[in-house]
Amino acid sequence: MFGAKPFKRKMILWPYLFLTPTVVSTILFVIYPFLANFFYSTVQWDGFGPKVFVGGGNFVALFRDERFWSALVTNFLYFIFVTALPLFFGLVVASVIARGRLAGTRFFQSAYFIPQVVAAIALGTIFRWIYAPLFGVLHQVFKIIGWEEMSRSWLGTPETATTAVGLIGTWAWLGFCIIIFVAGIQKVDQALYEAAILDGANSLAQFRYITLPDLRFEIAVVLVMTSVQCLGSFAFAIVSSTTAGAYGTRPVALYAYQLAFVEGKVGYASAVVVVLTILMFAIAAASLFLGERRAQE
Amino acid sequence: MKTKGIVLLARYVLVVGIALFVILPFVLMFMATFREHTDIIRRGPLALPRRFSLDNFRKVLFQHHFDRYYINSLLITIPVVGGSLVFALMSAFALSVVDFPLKRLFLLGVVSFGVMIAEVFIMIPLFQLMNSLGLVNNLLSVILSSLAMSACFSTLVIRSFFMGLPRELLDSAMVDGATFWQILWRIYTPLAIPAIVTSGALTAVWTWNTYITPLVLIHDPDKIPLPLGLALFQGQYVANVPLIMTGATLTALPPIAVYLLLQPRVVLGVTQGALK
Repeated sequence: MFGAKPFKRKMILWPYLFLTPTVVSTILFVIYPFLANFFYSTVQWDGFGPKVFVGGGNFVALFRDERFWSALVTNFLYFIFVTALPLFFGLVVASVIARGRLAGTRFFQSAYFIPQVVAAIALGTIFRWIYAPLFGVLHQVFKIIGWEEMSRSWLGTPETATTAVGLIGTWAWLGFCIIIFVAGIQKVDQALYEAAILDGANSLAQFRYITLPDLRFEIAVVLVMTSVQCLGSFAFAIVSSTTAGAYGTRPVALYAYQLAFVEGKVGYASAVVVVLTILMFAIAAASLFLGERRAQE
Repeated sequence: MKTKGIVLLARYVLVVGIALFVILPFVLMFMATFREHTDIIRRGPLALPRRFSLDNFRKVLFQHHFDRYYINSLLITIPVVGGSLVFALMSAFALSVVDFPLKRLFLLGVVSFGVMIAEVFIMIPLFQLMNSLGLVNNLLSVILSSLAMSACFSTLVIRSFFMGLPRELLDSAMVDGATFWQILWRIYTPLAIPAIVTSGALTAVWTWNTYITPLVLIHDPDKIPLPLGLALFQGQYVANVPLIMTGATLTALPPIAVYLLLQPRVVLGVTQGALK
């Protein structure tokens, strides 16, 4: 780092004053609720009456809760659609389009990012129509290509609902992954590729030995972003606006919300959130570890 | 030479094809706003609109309360963007130009930690807290919690910008007898416009799109912001595709406009944010 180097002075007060608005509001409205959630997870509470301390009781109950496990499995399936598929296709597409800049493609690539700036509720709303039986878009497409009997209520059938919801995530995150990976590949020294070509390496070998190791950091970023969204607010909003959690599409976050705000099991719901929190931090830590290693090599 | 041409063509087809794949749902949404439900049933969802009437927009805005939702979304987004930028400029300045005891604690333990905490983690205690403060069903509850989270994010973006400014800037201003308060607002802030635009645009887009926080804190249908209004609306009017798509368009259009206007900065900001 160059530029301003912090310097020492005797007992200064103003930095604390300047920090007060941000620090106080963050402690009050972000960090306190975050910590309180851990405390809530140890009590039995309907949100209004007295709290009864149950220790790890909520977690023991959680372990035997079928609805929790099914939500966890659903989240795992979303992980495939929201994280694994965009990551895989993003890498493949980016390595095809990023090498040797394609003139005039900037305009098209700017479209890739649009799902990122639109409310997930609106995305879910559009896809609810696309997947709708009778007057839905997919139904019409199937009709045109003559597979009408294959068409169904994609979101209203347990066999297809989770996949249909998950594919919305694949669609929404593919462009994001491509943009991050294209930026990453363009930073790679092009001479490496030229040397590899001289050595007779085919494109698969170039991908395996140059592109993939050099994109370790970008892959970590994509892993963190997509898995946080797949466990958190993206999946929550997409599911809320498409199936409302029916037909096995309910993720853990939505289950916690419904426990707390519909069923009035506040303590138990907080235990679900604790598991979610640990899961998310573990995934983030693992991904960052992966990305960090590259920086040290 | 010929195969090279084919490879190049294939790459162009891929780039354009994916762009179309990403945009198509939005095009369908937008086209549907000009049609009527009976027309969708009769001519199918893929047919082009026959005329361009803004009837559906008028209906959704004025008969289905989207005007109210718009106002609520603005009442939340404007103070959050403005407030968080002021907070962030102050804290970023303190965290970049001087050393003081507990600095690392504030930077890592509060600001960086605050950025990592997702809405889902805090939704239950946040409701309890706002309830005990009597702020449930008050837009202030959403504003306060969104403001805090955005201030942390913007602090990091603006701080990394401040760190890149030359030391002499601060020194010469201090020789001239300026106070830190004056140095921040008169010298550092005007220079930081690019970082302010990036973090402001992202804060605006994220706040506009937030769903969980207002879902938990606002139950009065007169006070809900757009995403909640859209969810409520589509639950009630499932059978009228054009009206629902008009609602979705109204929700989606302002952030898309911000994105297209400030595009490189927004992409950069998200990438930076992701890299943090």
